[in-house]
Amino acid sequence: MEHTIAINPDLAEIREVRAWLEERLTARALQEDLIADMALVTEEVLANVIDYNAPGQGAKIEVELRLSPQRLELVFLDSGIPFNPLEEIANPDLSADAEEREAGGFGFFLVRELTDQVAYQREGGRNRLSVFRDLKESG
Amino acid sequence: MALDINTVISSETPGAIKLELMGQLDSAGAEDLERAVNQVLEETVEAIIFDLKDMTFLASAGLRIFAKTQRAMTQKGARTLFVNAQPQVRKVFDIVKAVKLSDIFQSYEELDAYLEAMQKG
Repeated sequence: MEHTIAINPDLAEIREVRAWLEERLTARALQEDLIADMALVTEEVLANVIDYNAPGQGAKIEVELRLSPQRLELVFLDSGIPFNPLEEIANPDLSADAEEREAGGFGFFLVRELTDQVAYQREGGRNRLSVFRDLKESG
Repeated sequence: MALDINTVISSETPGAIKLELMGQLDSAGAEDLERAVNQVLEETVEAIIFDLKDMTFLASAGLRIFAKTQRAMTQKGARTLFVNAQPQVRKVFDIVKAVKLSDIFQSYEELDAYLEAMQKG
């Protein structure tokens, strides 16, 4: 099953995507904590795309949701400059003192922690970031 | 629902200002929190207490404000405390560790006991 939504590159529009996602995942009777995790992943990926990647004015960002019994996949597509967060965003140094650490990188760190796989491709002039979460254990 | 912020000054917590955060602290809402915090930082207080009882969503943009607040308060010799985080919100604190986990309290009972001990100590 596949669903798609498109938004403008505006932080205030991310809420629409979260609501859209939560509605579809709730309809599939997925666990509440999994739905909350994926809403957070969506927030963080889209905020990164909007903050760092600056898609052209009027350029839409597309989100696709693909669900199979085994796996959930979210695909984020934007036509901004090539930007591979897997290479360009360093993980925050969690071992350092909380008050001395750089605050950057928290968002993408959450994305990695809350998903089972993250993949990036530059495809047809667009950035394509896919995140996967296995559904077997969580029903 | 966006983020609503109540600033509470109470005789029950002398020297502290409490910020009750209600709704979703997401990337778009973080600026509202930063404005509210900056106002509190102008006051002379011993502690800021963030009450998260009705906060349903926390994104990294919000965590950044919390971490920044804690840094600014620590420089002034003051504390930043968190209470009543819902499980999903607590999970975000636990994964990122942007603020000291010892400053996060499960309940007001736990926080009150801590504050009492601090005043005596």
